[in-house]
Amino acid sequence: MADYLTQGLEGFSLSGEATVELMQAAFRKGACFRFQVKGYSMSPFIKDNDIITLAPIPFPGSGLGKTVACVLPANNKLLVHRIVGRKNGHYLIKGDNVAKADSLIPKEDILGYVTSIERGNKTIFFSLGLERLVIVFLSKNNLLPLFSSLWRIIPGPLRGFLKCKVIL
Amino acid sequence: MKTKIDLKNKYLPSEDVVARDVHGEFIIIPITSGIADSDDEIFSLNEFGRAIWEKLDGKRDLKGVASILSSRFVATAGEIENDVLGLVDELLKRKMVVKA
Repeated sequence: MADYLTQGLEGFSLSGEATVELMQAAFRKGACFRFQVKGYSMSPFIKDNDIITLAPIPFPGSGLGKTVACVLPANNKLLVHRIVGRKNGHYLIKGDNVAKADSLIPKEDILGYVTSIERGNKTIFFSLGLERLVIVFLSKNNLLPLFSSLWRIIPGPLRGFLKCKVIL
Repeated sequence: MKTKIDLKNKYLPSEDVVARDVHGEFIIIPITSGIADSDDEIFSLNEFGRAIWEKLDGKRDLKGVASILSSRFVATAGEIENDVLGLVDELLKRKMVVKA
């Protein structure tokens, strides 16, 4: 049989708009959506080329601290950023590695929320516990990049312990 | 177990796929274990493949699909039928279509 069906995309990559369309189609079927992210705005939690899995909304709990995918109404751009606040039924979202919050997003513009992150061959546990409130605090106050730098100088064994018990 | 594909059979796209025209490329992503994986499990159909896919409505048998395509593509009826069988076999193996 000729190559009528090809696995992978040859010669092109999915645009943000196309990713949103496919994501929404998957969510309408109640499925999660897995894709590769580009950019550094959520570093250190999500890095360039990490593969994330998103689940459709509604998410459990208030949403505060969750990392969500949404389309910014101002420029139709797909963003995967963190919810750092709520106001009148809208969510304030912000990249952990960006100084300024994006904007208030209506609840209905949130597409889905991140449930796992893969980096290399490792799946990184993506915390959804109360520690997310600490992360919100650090993100809101632009302390996460500093925290990330400090993290690197913590000795390996202690870092492993903290990863299990506290943050990641 | 190998599934026998027959021109008299009718098929339709599975509920467990996301299929979309994305900027002229026809993309299919199967939903496996509740996840549509656009990183590892993304497929594209070429023009002929897409033409077949769009005719798989569960009402028309594969013979009928091939017959419609023979007016659109330059090939013998036998070649088109073989190609339809080949692609549907592949789609069936990947659970992208189901028998009606």
